[in-house]
Amino acid sequence: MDASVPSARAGGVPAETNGGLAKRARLRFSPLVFVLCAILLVLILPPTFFLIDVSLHTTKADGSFGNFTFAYYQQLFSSRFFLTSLRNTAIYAVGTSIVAITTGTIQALIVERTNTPGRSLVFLGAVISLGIPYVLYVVAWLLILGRSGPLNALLNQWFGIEPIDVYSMWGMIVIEGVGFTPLTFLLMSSVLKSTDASFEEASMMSGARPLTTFWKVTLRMGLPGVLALMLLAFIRAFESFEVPALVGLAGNINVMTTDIYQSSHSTGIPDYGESGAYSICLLFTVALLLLWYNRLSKHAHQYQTITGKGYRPRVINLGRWRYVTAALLILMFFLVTGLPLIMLVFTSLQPFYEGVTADSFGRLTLDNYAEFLRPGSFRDSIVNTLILGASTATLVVPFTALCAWLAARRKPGAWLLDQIATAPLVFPAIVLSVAFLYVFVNLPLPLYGTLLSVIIASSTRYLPYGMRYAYAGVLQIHVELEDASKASGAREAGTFLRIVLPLLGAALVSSWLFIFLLTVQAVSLPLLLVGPGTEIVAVTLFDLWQNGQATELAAMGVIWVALMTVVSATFYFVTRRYRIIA
Amino acid sequence: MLSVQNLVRRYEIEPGQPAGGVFGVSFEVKPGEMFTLLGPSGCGKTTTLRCVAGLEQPDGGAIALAGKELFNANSGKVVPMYDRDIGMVFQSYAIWPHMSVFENAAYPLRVSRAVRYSRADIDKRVDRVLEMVGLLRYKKRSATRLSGGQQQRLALARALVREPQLLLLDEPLSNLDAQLREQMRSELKRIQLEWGVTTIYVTHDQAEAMAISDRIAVLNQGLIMQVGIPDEIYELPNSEFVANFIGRTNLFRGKLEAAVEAGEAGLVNSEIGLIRCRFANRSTAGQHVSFVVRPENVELHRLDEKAAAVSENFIDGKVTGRVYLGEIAEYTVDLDGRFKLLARAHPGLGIVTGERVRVRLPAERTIAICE
Repeated sequence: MDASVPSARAGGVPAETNGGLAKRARLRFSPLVFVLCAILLVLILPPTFFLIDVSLHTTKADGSFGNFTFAYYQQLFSSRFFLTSLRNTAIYAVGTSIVAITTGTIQALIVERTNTPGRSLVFLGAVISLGIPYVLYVVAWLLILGRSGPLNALLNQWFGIEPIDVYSMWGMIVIEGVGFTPLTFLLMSSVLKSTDASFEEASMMSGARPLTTFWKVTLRMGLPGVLALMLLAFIRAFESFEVPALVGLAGNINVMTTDIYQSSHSTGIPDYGESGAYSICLLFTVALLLLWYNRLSKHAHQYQTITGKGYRPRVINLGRWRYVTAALLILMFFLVTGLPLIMLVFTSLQPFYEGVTADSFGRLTLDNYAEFLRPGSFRDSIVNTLILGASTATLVVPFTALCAWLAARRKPGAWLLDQIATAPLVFPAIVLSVAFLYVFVNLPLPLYGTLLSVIIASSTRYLPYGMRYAYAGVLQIHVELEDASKASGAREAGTFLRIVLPLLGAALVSSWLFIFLLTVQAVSLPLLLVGPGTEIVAVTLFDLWQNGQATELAAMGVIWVALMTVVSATFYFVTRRYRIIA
Repeated sequence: MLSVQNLVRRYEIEPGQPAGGVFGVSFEVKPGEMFTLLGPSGCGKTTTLRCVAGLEQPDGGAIALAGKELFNANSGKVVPMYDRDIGMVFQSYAIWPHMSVFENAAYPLRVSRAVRYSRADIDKRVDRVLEMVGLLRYKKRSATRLSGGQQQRLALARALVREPQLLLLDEPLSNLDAQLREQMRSELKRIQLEWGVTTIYVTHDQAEAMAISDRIAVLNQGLIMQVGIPDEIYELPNSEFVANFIGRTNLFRGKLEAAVEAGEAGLVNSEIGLIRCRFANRSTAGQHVSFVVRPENVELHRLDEKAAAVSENFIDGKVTGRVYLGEIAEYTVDLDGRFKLLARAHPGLGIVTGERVRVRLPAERTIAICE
């Protein structure tokens, strides 16, 4: 559910005109900037360092480093296994981005540009899906599409077709692609919103019908934006973990992220060198793709001209066709949100899962929920997760607010803050997880396996997201509001506390909620870091599925979704109320 | 040519946002006329324009162009915007950045369904319209490489290329700087006359409206206050709003002494004394009226022997301010500390600040307003 983070800086920074002055300013550092930089480096440098180091040294039996070697890289590039998983990753990422972009764009067009009834349903769907842990969503789809699931039962009963196998490449693409739809929808609809509608109105006034206008103007002008979004979806699929782990591994389809997971999680002695080399490869690929994405999205913004007149409700009247588009929206809502939730609720009421049969309706029970009334690991993991999410968000938000303000106002040396705080973006979650694993294992402090270690890793991972929100928020504050404060005699600190922070309020609240939601859903980041006693919900769900405890999983999932929907609804209303682009 | 009857478009009331819209606007535009909708922001002028264009659907009323009904709330008839044969220039110009100058202008011909244009015909027509707006030599250029003024010309060319029955201009000059604005204004007028196209022009700038329009409709809060040729609007305002909105004005209030017929002069017992004014409508004694007089119509006299000759409609006061404007000077006259009056006179008159003066309001140019 990440927003298009890399575009944050590409979007709003005005070009520096006074080059000489800026250069001189960059050489000076204020003590505050220095301290903030130091904190950031302490978070980011150790994992990077250990990751590179571990991939270049042999691992001894006790886990410590041996001799310097390139062997892991040589092994990697010469193995056919690596090439296969590279190819799988590419196919999977391309397929996913095509599915996600197509469905998301269709929805965004219908919602933003036509008078289809029930348009708000799509937003509702997107909001609910923000609160569903991705792992849960994947599990729900596996229940639906699985061998004993209702889809295969129907196909077999009505058409006598052999069961289709969801544990395959197409299964991965469909599940990831559909799961990605709410995000492509939200991003695409914000692209459409920020594009001046008078370009299309001018076409209509020239005598072009809606479809002609769509082909010749909307689509052509939106193309750079669509391409950039497609690349973003590609990158996300490239580094995604849940679907490859839950769907791919069961079908023996390996991609890069699952290779890393397996090599650092295998029974016996984990092969840290191999997973390190894998991680470095993935890191470089993602970094290159992100670089490309940044250039593309800069290009995408050139057509976005917001011209004074503000938002005006403008819709294409579809006439009777609007019922067709409405049906399409309802179908998509049902597929993306409704069906998985129904399946989860149903499964949670079963004593054991055997598919949807006539018999199973006679066995409805609340036993799975009773588990939560007893103290035990389920309740602990919910409490742990709430602590994790709240601490991460509370650490990241004020810190990034300060960094973003310093950077946006071009304080001496603050450009470096911006660069470092955005750097964790290039780490796919599973790579960051591996990297922090090395750090905590090798650190003399007893951090390994603690909740604190997960908080540190999560805070690092979500720094860029906090930066994005705060940066966009600061750019909305006119500089003169701060100048007026200084002219009234306030110092920098006073200006920040009394003027900037209050004006940033809404942006920071939504930033907090967004980071909270991301943190509590993540599986791959805490997966390698948590230990006994520090279970968290997403990982517990993951483990329950691996153990085949589908019904307990479903019950826990239903309770969790109910909790998180409250959070995501709050997030939605805060962003809507204060017009923050999510 | 264009007839708008009782047009209503209400905006949904959102908390904290004033509900705008139009509430029963009617007017007729004659063939070949430049008709201006003038008013402050939020008066409903752009809403009216967008309803005519078909970009917005009215809640009530009827719109007809050249005898063909475009919209009728009663019969539920709505002609979609692309079938209305109306050209429009947008405030932001909306020049498509992914097309060349030529392609932007050719677009309406390329998408036309009513008439199929041949390639040669398209070339001919686009060249002609680009020549008229002075962009012919840029026709291969990418539209993103045009200046603001050139984009404006291209938007006009695009709106005119299929020779629509009606041309709509939505504040077309508001994004240009002052000098270019004046130049484009006369250019617009020239092209409109040359092309002979019936035009509706929307602006909030009264000087612009005066200079360019054949007739003006002044709007306020979703209603038309007055329709007329520029001279009428300026010299015979029918409401305090119009008088204040257009030009500089002195406005006072009082009661009519005795009944008057339309077009006659009547005596008003006002806050600045007994003043004879011209009444456009028949009015009865005791009616509350206000009257306006333009600063350039106020006569300014030194308090000397000649002033004694001023026998009617005069007040004495003291000059408290003088603003030199070049061809004319504007004086502020304090009338016994309670009211102020603006007067314009030739700068050579030699009256200085602090001097006591006698001002006369000519009865034929002092216009009574009965609302």
